[in-house]
Amino acid sequence: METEKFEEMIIDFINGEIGEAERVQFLEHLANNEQSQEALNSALRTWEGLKKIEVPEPSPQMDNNFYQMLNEHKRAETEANWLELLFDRINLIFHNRNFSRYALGAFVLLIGISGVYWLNMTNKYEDQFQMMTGEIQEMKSMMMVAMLEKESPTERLKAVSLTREMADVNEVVADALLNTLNNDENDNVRLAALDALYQYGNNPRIREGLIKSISNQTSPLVQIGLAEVMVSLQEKRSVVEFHRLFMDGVVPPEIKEEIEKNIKVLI
Amino acid sequence: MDALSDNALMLKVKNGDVDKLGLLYSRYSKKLFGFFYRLTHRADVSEDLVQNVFYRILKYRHTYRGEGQFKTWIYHLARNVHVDQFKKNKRYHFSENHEFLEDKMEQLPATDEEVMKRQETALLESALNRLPEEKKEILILSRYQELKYEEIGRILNCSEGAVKVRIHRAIKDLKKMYQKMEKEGIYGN
Repeated sequence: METEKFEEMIIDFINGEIGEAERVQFLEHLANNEQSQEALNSALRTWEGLKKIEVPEPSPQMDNNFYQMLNEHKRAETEANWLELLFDRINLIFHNRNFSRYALGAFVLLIGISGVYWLNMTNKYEDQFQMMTGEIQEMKSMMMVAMLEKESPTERLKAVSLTREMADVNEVVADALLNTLNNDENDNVRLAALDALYQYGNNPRIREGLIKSISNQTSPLVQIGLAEVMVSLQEKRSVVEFHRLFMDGVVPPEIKEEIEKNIKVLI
Repeated sequence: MDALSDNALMLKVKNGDVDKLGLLYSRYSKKLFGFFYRLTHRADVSEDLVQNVFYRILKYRHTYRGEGQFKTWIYHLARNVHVDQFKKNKRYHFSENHEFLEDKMEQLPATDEEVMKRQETALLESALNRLPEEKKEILILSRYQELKYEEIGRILNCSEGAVKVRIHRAIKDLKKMYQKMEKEGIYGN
């Protein structure tokens, strides 16, 4: 028997895996060969001896380490999958044949959002600006009313001139100016008030006040000034007031003539 | 244990169901621990090596094709893990495990027959440990890992017949080593 064949058969024999025909052949060989018998015995003893070598049990830490590693791997993979999905989506968008349409849509949307944002900001600033302007005008009105009560005519003239910087006048300012026109002791101040009120001639309250003021005036300069304002404002109702003024006899003849010449266009 | 089941489980792991690796771990962790322990005689090192094997399974699971047996695949990985460990720490193999065995034998009292048998086993273990790596490995694979010769052949890339011849020669060498150590009286008895 060849050595290698014998070696194979020994291993099969000691493991009980040898076939019946080979077993017969193997035993016949052993019966005629002492050296092979010794080889078999030696291999058998050593093989059996190996089985007695024991190994310890692994510690529970080995299982813990494994499951910890598995969980960490799963967590890392979940995070990686999330990123992968995101990149896939982005990739899909860029490689889509409708990408240009989507891009244009996104661009228009962006412009729209920017526009709305800009308008909102502009409106916001406008609102703030208007609020501040209103507050400044309010302060000017208060200051003007306070200055009109000063003793000095110069101060009162300054107060009247403040109204030139106002786009519109509130009731307080209008009343203050009309009061100045009717009652201020200084002709120049009254003329300045008339001039200031003329700017707001379209205001019905002021127009009414101007008409009523005609009969209160004693100063020829103011009377002529009022007549010019009435003509300029095309206020026909003023004619009655001027006639009432003439009847009171406080208007010098030359002034009366001048006024009549002015208001003739209104009749 | 059904090898096909192992394959089916591993294919699930490959396809993303990594929880199934827990089942494969429960089937193979102790066997692999025994394989590494007999090679290294270090429980802590063996546990780390088992962990390395399953880490590599996770890492390289996409390479698993499911064509061969899972069992032979995992032992391929285990051998590679051990070779890497061997390269990293050669000194440990040639000295530390010998010291461990000497300690083990010195702890055994030599009084009765039972103890003498234990000493014989310890001497055989020591002799096994002194064999060249490839001889020691083929004895461990064939004697303790419940592998068929055909499976060992696939793991070692050789024929079934060659496996048997190599086992027999390893047994002969082991016997010689045992007798030499016994004759020299290295460990008493």
